[in-house]
Amino acid sequence: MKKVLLIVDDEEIVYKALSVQFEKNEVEILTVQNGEDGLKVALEHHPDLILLDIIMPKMDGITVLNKLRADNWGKSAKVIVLSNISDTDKVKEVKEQGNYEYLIKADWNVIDVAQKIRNILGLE
Amino acid sequence: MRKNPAKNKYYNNVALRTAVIYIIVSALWILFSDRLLLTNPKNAIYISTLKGWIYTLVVGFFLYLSIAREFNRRNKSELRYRRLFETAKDGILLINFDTGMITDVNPFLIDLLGYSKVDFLEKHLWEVGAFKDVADSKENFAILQEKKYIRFEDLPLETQSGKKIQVEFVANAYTVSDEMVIQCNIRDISRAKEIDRIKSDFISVASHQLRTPLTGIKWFSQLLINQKIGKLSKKQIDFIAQIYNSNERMIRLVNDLLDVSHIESGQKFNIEKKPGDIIALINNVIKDQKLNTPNKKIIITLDNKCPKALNFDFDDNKIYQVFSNLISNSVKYSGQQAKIIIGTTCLGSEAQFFVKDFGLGIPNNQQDRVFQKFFRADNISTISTDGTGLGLYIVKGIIEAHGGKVWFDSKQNEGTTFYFTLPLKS
Repeated sequence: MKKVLLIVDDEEIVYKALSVQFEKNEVEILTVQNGEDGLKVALEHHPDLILLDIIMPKMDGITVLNKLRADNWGKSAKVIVLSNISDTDKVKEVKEQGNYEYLIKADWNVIDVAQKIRNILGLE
Repeated sequence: MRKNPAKNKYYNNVALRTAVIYIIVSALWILFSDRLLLTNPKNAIYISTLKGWIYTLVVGFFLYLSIAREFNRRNKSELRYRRLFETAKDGILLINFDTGMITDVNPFLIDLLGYSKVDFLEKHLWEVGAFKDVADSKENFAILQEKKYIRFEDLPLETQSGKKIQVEFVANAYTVSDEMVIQCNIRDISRAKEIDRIKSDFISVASHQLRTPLTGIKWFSQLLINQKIGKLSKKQIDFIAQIYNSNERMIRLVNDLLDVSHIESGQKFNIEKKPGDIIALINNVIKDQKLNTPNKKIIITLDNKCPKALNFDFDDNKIYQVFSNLISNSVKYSGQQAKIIIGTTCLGSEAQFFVKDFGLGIPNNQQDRVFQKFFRADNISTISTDGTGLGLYIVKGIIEAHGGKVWFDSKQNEGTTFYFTLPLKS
């Protein structure tokens, strides 16, 4: 069955770079560019993995994560926080939510990020 | 009552001086007065009365001089300290050691907290509204009585108008006039904290804004090099690789500056220790280092005197950075051909590591500046312009945040060895 990946990021680069990494028939990629829509789509579509940025318009990633964890389905949803923020307080705040990976975009190659996604989704 | 030895000594000196003057004057009088005055025995009564008066006046004069001088000195000293107390730009509270009652408060603290002098005097610290947590204040006062010293780097207080402020609070107990007193110095650090927060927000936003376009360059140039989008000529791949590598340098610089700002702000690093095998990590660094410098001939060997897998808690990203910084320095200092040895030794509760090269070495007169930020040795600046001088400063920060130590040996034209330790138990 096709896996669903939700990218919540106001920068297009994550979607554009990752979309060429996956075959169309293995992963369906949903993308939204603000936190508010991200939360709505996540709770509606129950994606297999959410890629979440921190600094976004309307609702920031930390609030999205807090609201997600308050939901029955959302509390165990798989989330990778992919951000360029490495401020220790923010990282700590995110980590307190548990069940996540925190990756600094600029420190990761797109191929390694794609591989991480494959591993989490259980794709070969 | 407790005795104050310093004060006793002070009084003894005054008394001793007066006694010595008294004895000298008496002795001189006894020895010479009769010979000087008693030329006619008929005058004996008159002379002895006169002698008595003169003696009393002389001794009284000396006593007066001596005591007046001491009083004058004490008054001046008290005035000086009173002025310091009244004009200090830190809040000062004086508390009776035995009863815990506030005996004096300076104007600065009255202004800072917005309470009147009456609100402080003859009250316990925890009866003043600013120190809200009564149980905590009582407990800390007991600690202060026992240890004679207490310090809080960042204590939240509330002014009478309800404004929250942050202060540095230092209290010492000492003796004055046979009585123990506690002096509390209270410094308002709210503004400094606010500036720290603004600086930290600025760095956070600036680094985010710098990293975002760098991520775009990194990811898309990587996709182009891997020919995911279409086939490219060898020359095109080479040029895009140049873009990729330059961008990587920029990302490293942003990361280094962020690390430095963390060290500077006293936050140290957000060290996240997790169980891991450091020998596997070293092998990864060696592999990556060779990939990152394809144009140089590099031989890196691992001299491992610890078990094949050495598992303990450390921050793998940060320790990777330590080895990577040390090895890339060794490569830079070694010219076109680099021979580097990485060593590991297990010493009871800690592991010791070294990274040794046979390169240029660090000039003797610059060795004490090696761990300073932005330091680059003269001899390396002439052969390599790549480098910010932040690497070793960050290495030191990371190792110390892990509870380890870092040092080095270096001889010019023979090479340098950097050593560091990491505790094997958290």
